[in-house]
Amino acid sequence: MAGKKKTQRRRKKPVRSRRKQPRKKRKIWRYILLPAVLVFIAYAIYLDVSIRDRFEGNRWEIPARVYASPLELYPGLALQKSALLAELKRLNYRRVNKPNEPGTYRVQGAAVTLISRAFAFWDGEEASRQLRIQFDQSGVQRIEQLVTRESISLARLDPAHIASIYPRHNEDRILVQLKEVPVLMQQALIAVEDRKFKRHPGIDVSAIARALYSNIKAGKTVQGGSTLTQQLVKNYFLTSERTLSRKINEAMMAVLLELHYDKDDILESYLNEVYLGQDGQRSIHGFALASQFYFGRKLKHLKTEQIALLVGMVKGPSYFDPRKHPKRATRRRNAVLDVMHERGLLDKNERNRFKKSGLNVNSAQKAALTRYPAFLDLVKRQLRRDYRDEDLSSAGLRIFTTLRPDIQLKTEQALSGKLKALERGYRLTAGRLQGAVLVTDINSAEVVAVVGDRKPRSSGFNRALDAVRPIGSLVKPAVYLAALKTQQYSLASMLNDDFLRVEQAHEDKDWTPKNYDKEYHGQVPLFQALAHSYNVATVRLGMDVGLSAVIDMLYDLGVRRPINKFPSMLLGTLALSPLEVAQMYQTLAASGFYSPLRSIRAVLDINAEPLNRYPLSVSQVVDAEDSLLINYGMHLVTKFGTASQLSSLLPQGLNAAGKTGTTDKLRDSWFAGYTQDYLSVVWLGHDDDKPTRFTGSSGAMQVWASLFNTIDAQPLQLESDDAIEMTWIDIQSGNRTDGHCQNAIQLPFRRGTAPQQHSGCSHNIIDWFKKVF
Amino acid sequence: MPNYFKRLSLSLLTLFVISCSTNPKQEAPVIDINDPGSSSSVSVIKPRAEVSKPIVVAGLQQNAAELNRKGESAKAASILERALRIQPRNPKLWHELANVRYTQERYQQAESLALRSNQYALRDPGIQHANWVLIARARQKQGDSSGAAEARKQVQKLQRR
Repeated sequence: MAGKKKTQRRRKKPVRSRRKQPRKKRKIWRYILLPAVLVFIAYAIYLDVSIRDRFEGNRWEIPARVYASPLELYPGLALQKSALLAELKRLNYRRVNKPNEPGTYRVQGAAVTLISRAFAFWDGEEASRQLRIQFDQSGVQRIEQLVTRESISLARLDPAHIASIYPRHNEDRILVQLKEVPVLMQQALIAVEDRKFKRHPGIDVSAIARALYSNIKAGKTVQGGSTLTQQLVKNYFLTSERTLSRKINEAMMAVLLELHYDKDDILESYLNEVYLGQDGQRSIHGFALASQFYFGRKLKHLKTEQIALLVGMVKGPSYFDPRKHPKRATRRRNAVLDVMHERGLLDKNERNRFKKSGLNVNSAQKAALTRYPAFLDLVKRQLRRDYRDEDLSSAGLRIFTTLRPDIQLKTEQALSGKLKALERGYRLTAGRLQGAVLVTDINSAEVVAVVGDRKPRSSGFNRALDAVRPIGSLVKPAVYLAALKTQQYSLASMLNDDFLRVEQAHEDKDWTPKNYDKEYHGQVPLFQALAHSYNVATVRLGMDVGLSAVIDMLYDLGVRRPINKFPSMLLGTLALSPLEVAQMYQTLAASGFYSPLRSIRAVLDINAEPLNRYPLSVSQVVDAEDSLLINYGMHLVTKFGTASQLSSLLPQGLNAAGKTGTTDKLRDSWFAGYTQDYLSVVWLGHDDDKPTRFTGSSGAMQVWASLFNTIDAQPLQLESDDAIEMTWIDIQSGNRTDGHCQNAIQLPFRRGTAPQQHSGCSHNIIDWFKKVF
Repeated sequence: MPNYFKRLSLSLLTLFVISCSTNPKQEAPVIDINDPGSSSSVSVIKPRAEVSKPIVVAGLQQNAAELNRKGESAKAASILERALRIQPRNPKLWHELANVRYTQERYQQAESLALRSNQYALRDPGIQHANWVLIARARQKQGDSSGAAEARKQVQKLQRR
């Protein structure tokens, strides 16, 4: 038995052990390896999905095309031939001897013949047409169909394409296709960064080994072994983390990416994605944008040494920043030129010649991608305000804006011309004075021009939208309007402009407002106090009407910012941006109808369907009579008040209304004014708040007048029905007087509110003698 | 069915406007305040003649009316806005835009636009009348009965003229 048992045991042993081993293996497989493999596969799938998502998302993003306002042509339009030709140039129409295809034109004496391009607008299609436009002195005289000579009442040209933007991104981007990238740039990049790019599967094991060896030898990281594919992945998930797990993730994603896409796709994405510098808040991604940013030119126009510099900068865009570290950048560029020579891309002579050339980096750091950065800034903000995010992320949007390139250009010229003259005239440091101008079309509440910097192409600080400055006397129309609204006051009501002491609840010292001329003017009619911008009379009036009523009026006019209820608010301690001031004055200019200012007419998706927008609101916030009275008062400001110089600065008969504003120590110079059709707000000042040495009328108003001399503005017209009556008033006493008196002025009144007391002609004996002799 | 009546009544309203405006009744007195009348005032240049503009926008107006009839009110509004950019002081265009907003049941907008139209219709009691009719109805729809009554008073005042 024992022997049997022994043999059994002996026999069993190997059997048992044979059986036990696979079971153990199976256990390891089941409990450790299999889950690990599954986790790994799941993780790989996760990485695969996220990297593909990222790659596709960025790769196929089509920018939104942004258009200016199209030119409408019709007989009677005040458009000179030269202005039409300028527009055709903006639209890239070609001047030819015989127009034969859309986008060509010919000039024959006082006529322009053109073939317009077909264009799908948001409100319908415009077919291509053969037009003959005949001009006379006042503008377009007749438009006819070229062949049939049939008269045409209205034709619309295609709009100027002013920019391509990515509404979801804060930054500018220029995406290019591989075929648009110079071959030399592609070759140089591969030669410097990843020689085996065309052959490796996403990672280059020998390069990693080489880098590891060098790094261990040096005791620190001196060489990277990343392929272009790995760098691309790293760029997608930019972090400064340099852990091993990060590296492994990158490597896996690189391999996965190579499984799905071919080398050209990956190279194209790399060229568009790689980080190449920083411009304040704006990151510079991609070679095309970098080319604009550093050299102000398109990729295809880059010189060899410029290509070498950009390729060299990939290694460390801030370390080799050519503007901050030109010597370092030159050394790096030359190293790249050496590599290019080594790889046979350049011969020896070429290499030596290029090495000697300067960096030729554009000095204007903030050069924008578009001609109209300040306007586009407004468009981008209004897109985010008025449209849903998910709608904006769809590809191929077309955005129709309200920009009038002709007026924009004139606004830029008016600002830069006057700033230079003011700096000379007031002996200010040249180039420091800043300014912002907005122009709106009053009837449509459309913003037609925005300038936010004396260098209009600068994409830096946009003063038109973001310079929030005290508005000074620009606040006064709200004070006077609040008073008129009570119907206790008329334009001829007498106000007291004598010494005033105001107790201030929040401060120990009382406040004694002063006039600009340091004098008190006693009893003055309301329209005079507004015209001459008397501070003391205004404060007394505002206190009488009540600060709350004035603040409510400012809100009605469109101010959307909290306003402190301090008496000093009545003299404009309230700080607003030029855009906010434009909104407030827009309501005044539009006869008391508030509409939010807009820069976008429509946005179409890729199927030409309009996107839904948050509905616009239009509402009457000031009644017709009060609106007429305040507009008349502001017209008188330009006739004999603080803006009376306009009479000599504007073309004869171009009636306007407006208000000057000057803040403490002449820090801010403001003018807001309008004619029948256009409103413009101008702000001038220094970014650091240094005094300017000029007032609202000697500064900002000069820019305004220069602009309104060049645009085709129509004189302000005020009309009313029988709710308003005109009465002759003595300009000093505010009493009713006779029309023939020298000191008489005709003023509008709500029916029945004109003063009853009658005065004869004041100091008319002397005047009578003056007149007679 | 109610929609049909709404459209029918609105097209009647439009017809009324056209008939009134081509055949104006006695005009309301209009005060032109462009010359302050003081001895220092400058001579006033006359605004550019806008004779041809009504013809220019006539096609657009017709187009908009057709679209509105077909129920394409959003497009009709875009076209009227285009016409208004060409001729911003044409009270008929403002009135028609108010009508479109009314069909879109945007009554507050309809009211505001009709009020705006009135500001340019000082010489055209026909359009003023049509505007006040529209304002009365739009106010009623917004639940503003006293405002609607006020507007109807204006309608009667214009009818008495």
